[in-house]
Amino acid sequence: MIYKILRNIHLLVGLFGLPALLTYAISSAQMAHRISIPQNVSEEDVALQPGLAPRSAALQLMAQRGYSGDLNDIFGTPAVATFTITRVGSRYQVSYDSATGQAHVKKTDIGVLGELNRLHHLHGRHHQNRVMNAWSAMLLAVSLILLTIGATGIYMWFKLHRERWIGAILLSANLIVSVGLLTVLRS
Amino acid sequence: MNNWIRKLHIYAGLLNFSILIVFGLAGLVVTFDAADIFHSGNEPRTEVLPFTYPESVSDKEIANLIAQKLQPAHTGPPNAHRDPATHQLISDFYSLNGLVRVTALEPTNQLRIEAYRNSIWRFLDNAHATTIAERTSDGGVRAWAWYIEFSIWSLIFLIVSGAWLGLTERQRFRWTNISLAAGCAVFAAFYFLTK
Repeated sequence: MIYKILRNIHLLVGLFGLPALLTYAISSAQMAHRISIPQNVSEEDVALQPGLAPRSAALQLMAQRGYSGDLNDIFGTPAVATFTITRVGSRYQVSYDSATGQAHVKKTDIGVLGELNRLHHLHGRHHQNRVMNAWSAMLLAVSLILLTIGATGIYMWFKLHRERWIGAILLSANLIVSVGLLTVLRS
Repeated sequence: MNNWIRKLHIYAGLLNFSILIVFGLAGLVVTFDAADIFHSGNEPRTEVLPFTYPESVSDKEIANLIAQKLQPAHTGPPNAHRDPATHQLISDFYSLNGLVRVTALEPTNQLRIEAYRNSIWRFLDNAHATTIAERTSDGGVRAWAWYIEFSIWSLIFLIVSGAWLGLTERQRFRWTNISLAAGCAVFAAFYFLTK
């Protein structure tokens, strides 16, 4: 009975987490092998209301052009302000002339591989964008899924009598190598 | 064929059990924002050592000489920079255990060494991010990085083989498709809303 319940949990949480787990795995391979992320840059000029403070200019740009994301890197003089709006898949670098109201926007798209990489690093609830904050719930779910899959997998293997010996050797090798290395590295 | 896939799925899982736990804990560490070395409230262990500064060498060369003298455990090459306020040369040595910061006290021919040791949770977070892209000559770190490399590809195999086994053998179990569809829908929503 317990075996059946844990087998179902192992299956269902694994399938539920499949796309997110693949995201983390593929982006890990990308980072480990330093596979370059192609960048597509485009530029445009947008007319905004003159005399705005940088934050107000950013908010008007967001409302007018549908940009959203984290607003950061706000610098500048009273005449020209620069700021950046960052999303998972793109970044808008904006230079705003408060005298004329002209905003020059440089948009950088990073493609699917770049998005997977950014999702891998996205965490916490300190973002201005609500969806980016909500991703922390996905990260929490994936973390718990990994722990659940590990624990239920060990139980199911142990109940498979014909795999017990070879499994015990493999698990021992895993624990000796990993715990040994971590102990050495922590010293 | 499914018998072999199941066998390999079990074996790969057992060979990567501890790494799965490390990956899972690393996710929890950043989700709950465990304190890093600068916010843990622990003071660094500090000591001052004598050091002779050679003349006419660059900051990078001095940092390398400091690395040769101190040989901080399990660290990569030093990250040398000048303190913007005091203009003192600072050599940072990062490792899974935190940071060893060495400040060059040139007028007195000394080095101030501050060792910031992180918590076990931040150590595990650093461990999960140690890949073969790491620049280090430390044997332990290299070995761990190759183990992580093995685990990355194993994880991909575990995901694909697990999905195959679930979808081919448990198709009649109604929740199989519901779970996969729900996971895909939630992920797609996040992907397109954050994109």
